[in-house]
Amino acid sequence: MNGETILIVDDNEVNLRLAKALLVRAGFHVLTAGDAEQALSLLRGVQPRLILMDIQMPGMDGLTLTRLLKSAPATRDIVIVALTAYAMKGDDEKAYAAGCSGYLIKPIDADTFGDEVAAFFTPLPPPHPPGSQAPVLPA
Amino acid sequence: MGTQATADRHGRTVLLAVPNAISRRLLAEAVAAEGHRTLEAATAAAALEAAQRQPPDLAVIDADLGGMEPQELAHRLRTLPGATPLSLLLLAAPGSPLPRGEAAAQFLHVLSKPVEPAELATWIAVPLAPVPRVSPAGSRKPCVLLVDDDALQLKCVRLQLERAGFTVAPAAGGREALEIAADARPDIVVSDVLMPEMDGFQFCQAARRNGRLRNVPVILTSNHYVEQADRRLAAQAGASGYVCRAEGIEDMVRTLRDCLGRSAPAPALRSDEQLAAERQPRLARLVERQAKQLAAAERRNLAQGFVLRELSVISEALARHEDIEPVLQELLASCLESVGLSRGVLYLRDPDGLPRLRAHHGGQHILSQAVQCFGKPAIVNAVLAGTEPRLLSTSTKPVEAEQEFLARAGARSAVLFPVRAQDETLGALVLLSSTNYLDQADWMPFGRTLAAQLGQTVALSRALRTARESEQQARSVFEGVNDAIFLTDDSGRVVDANPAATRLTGYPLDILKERNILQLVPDHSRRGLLELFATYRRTGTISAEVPLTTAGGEERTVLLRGNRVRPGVHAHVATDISEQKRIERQVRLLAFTDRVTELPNRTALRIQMERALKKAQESGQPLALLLIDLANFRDINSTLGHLNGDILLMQVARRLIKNLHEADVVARVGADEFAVLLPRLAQRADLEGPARKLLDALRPTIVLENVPLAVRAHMGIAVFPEHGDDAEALFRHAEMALFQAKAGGRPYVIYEPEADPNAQRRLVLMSDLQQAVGRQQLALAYQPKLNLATGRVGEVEALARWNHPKFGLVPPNEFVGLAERSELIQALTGWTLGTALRQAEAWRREGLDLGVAVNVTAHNLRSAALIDQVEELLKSSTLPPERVTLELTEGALIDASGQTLRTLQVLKGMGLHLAIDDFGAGYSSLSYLRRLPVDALKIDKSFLTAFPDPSSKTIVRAAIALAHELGLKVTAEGVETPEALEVLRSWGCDHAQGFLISPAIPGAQFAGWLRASPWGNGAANEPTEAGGPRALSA
Repeated sequence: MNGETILIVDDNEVNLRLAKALLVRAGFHVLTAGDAEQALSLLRGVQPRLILMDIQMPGMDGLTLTRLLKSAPATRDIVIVALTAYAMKGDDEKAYAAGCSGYLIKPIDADTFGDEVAAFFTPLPPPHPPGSQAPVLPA
Repeated sequence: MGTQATADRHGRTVLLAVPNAISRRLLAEAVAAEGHRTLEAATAAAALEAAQRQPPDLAVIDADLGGMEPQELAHRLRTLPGATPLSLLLLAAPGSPLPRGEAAAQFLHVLSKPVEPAELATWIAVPLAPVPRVSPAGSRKPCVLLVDDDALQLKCVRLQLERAGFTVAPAAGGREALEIAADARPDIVVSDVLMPEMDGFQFCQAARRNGRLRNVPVILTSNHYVEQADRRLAAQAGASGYVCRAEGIEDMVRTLRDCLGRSAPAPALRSDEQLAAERQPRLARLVERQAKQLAAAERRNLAQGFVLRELSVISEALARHEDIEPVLQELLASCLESVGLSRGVLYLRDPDGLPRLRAHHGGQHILSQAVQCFGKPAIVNAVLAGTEPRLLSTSTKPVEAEQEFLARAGARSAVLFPVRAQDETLGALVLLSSTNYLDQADWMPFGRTLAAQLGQTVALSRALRTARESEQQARSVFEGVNDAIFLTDDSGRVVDANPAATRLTGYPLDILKERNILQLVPDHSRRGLLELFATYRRTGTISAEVPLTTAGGEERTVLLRGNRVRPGVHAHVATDISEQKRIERQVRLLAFTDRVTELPNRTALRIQMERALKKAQESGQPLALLLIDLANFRDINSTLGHLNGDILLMQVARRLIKNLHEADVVARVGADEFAVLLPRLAQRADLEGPARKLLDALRPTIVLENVPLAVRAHMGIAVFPEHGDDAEALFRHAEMALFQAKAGGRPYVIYEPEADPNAQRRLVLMSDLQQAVGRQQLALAYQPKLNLATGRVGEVEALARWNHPKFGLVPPNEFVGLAERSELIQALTGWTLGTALRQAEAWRREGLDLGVAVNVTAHNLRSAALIDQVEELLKSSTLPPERVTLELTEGALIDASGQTLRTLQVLKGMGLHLAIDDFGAGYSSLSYLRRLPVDALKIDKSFLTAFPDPSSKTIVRAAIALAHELGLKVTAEGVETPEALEVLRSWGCDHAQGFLISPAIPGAQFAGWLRASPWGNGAANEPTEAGGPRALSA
């Protein structure tokens, strides 16, 4: 899809590969990072439009990284979508609180994943609870 | 009480109506020194109340007593019902307005502050001294012409004589006496000897020539001992008697009474020259003696008064000193020096009550003498035990102990005063003299006052120090703790916070102070916190895990505990548990999720099943467990690579999730096996719909690497309660059904007991188990636990073995499960405990100190029988309870509440150790660990078996960290390689158990094995695990 850049941050290697394959197939330019540290060093050089963030990672977890990015002017406007494990129900609320614009449940569905991610690029924001910040996207 | 005892001698009561507590106390000491009882009152009202209870004989009223004019109080005191004739002294500060005229006349005298003890003594002696009356009341009072040039002395004697029943005509000198004699018409004359202008002898001779006084007897008085020559001269001058005033008023009244009515003797000396020649040496001697004595007394009194005045001023300043006790030395020295005492010591009691030398005056040698006095501590102790001072003097026939005390102190006289404050004896003040100097009466009030002042000062200093220290302590705790403390008002507004609070929140104190504590919580949790605070307002206490947003936008999790400190002030203590929560989450994630699909794993499923089963038991609703096997997964894995295999698993998982309800649970329970738990089955018939739906969802091909793959799935189903009432049975039966489905090529099979060959075996085992205990088919084997810090084996786990005559060795899981179902479990656990304890005792007799661990099941914990069994066994065993560990499976602790929790607490209270077994294989809420009274956890061997896998390593490491965070010891089970042992040791793991060390060994062979092993040497010396510090060395 028109070459938008997406960064996937996930420590699950299989998921990282699958998600990357699916998004590349959907036309995105995809970067991957295995942990928060890698993600931060990548973000020094590139500015993705969207980050798919596994919120449960060893070391600095995805929620903390999200808050960090949302508090820095340079990265504040990147749309962050949480990846939450099916096993960790209830993480979605925390994801919104940290500044995520939405969440997708792992394991991802190979058939629909590309569309689900692309939906975050459409002008209509995905449903989110009142009070949380809607993503502001340039036209 | 000593005061009471001395008061009884005279039976007089002095009311002290003085507002200042210290002044009042000092006056009381001085009054007590004179042997009178005191009533103390700080206000006029209190004075009236005290006087009502016990009418005083004398009242000392402070002119500054608030609430009532002194003359008003005087009047009221005098008119109280039952009041005895009352003398009044007014106490006034220099320059304060005094009552005039009639109001003033009520008072015997005005004492000016500060009152010197000697002065007070004089003034209380006047009205209170018992005076014999000269004649029966009612008859005409004889008149005394009293001649004295000293106005004070004149007033004192006059008052005493008036109280004795005389009327008195005072005259300030001989000439005045002769002038007023005609008007006064005295019956007798009393004249001082030492007077200027006309001395007593001259006056006496003049009186003999005076028409009015010629036949009136004259009594001469002086302050001093009357020598024979004085008496002779007095008689020659025509005096009827010569009285020493120091002998007391009784002596004078007696002499006056004797002389009354007698005619005066004629003077033997006719000429003035003769008298002059005779009287000059007498007077010179009198003057010399008086001058000497006066000078000494005056100096002494002056000095004493000065010291005491000074002391009262400086002592309060001193008391505010950081610690007065070091400066007591200087204080005592300067006080004693100023009054001309060369030696003195001060003992203060230590907290243990023993007196310790705290200050001394009189050079180095006094130290050894003071210490020597302790050689005879009875005297010091007697003073410490009482309230009265004690005078020791060689001139007053000291008893043997006193003599010895004086000898040891190198003194001829000594006075010991108890140093008291607030009814407590703090120590003793000892004044020493190498002469009999201290016999002088005025040392008593001085010493009493000094001791009282020292006592007040020390008490004040100590009270101030304690207050300062506790304030400092509170402050330093407030400043120094790692926990954040917020002090808030009722609305939650922060009024103060400690440095830890500013560190935690990232806000400086001044910004924190503008906030409400609610503002520190992220939006999504505010409602929850509001509810918490609502509860807090009702209960006055709060304890909850709460998220906080820092200034940097970071979210931290804190354990918030609040308490009302005082009305309007609340202390909220926030402990940062973010790291702990993070570890917990990570352990949970790793321990409970499958790394590939991020679905719950077998462990997590079991927990969810336990919960669902509990609910199903309550509601009576059926529950189903579906096991799904992917028949061709291994082939896919081997042909397309395991990465693609993993992706296939993800897609299968996803399809399962999509086709289930929210409450249903999907888990990956094996390499190619998934499980689905349907907890909300309305009835058994509803089962087949979802089963088919799931299988249908898996049917469409999944495209991997452009290869379309058809997944072949089989399903085995077991239903609660039909096929089992616990997770174990349901799993086993679902596996059996799955096996049948695969074998029969059917998409799914619901468990059929008739088709299960194992069902037969279970029935046999169940019936045989009852006899197994009695028939000695059961035996225990012991697996050693290695203490990684000491490198020794200090404990063993007892494992039951059942050697069945038909089936051979039956795995413990199987027969323990059967026992649980048949209530045999209590007997089995009891037998195991008893056998293990006896074995441990046997080892002890051999010199091996080994603790034993015994497994206990959920069923055991739900009844109180276990407690009785343990109590009984411990009673008859020599093994200390802390050498017995009960290992509880995580399953046994799920929702530990009610009876289970009570049982645990009782067992813990009995001193037993509690350990969580198979940690990681079945526990849901790690934070719950905090609430359980457990000492240790054992990491499930599945993690160690899979140790080369990095995620297993992470779990083990995190579990060790978490356990230590919670203050628990950690045992790793299933340690099989030296490498694993080394890694565990480096991570601080406390114990290891596994084949590397040894499999379980029969009891009889254990000691031999241990002695031969590298871990047994000195095992007997290993310190008890209980509470001992963790050795730091690896």
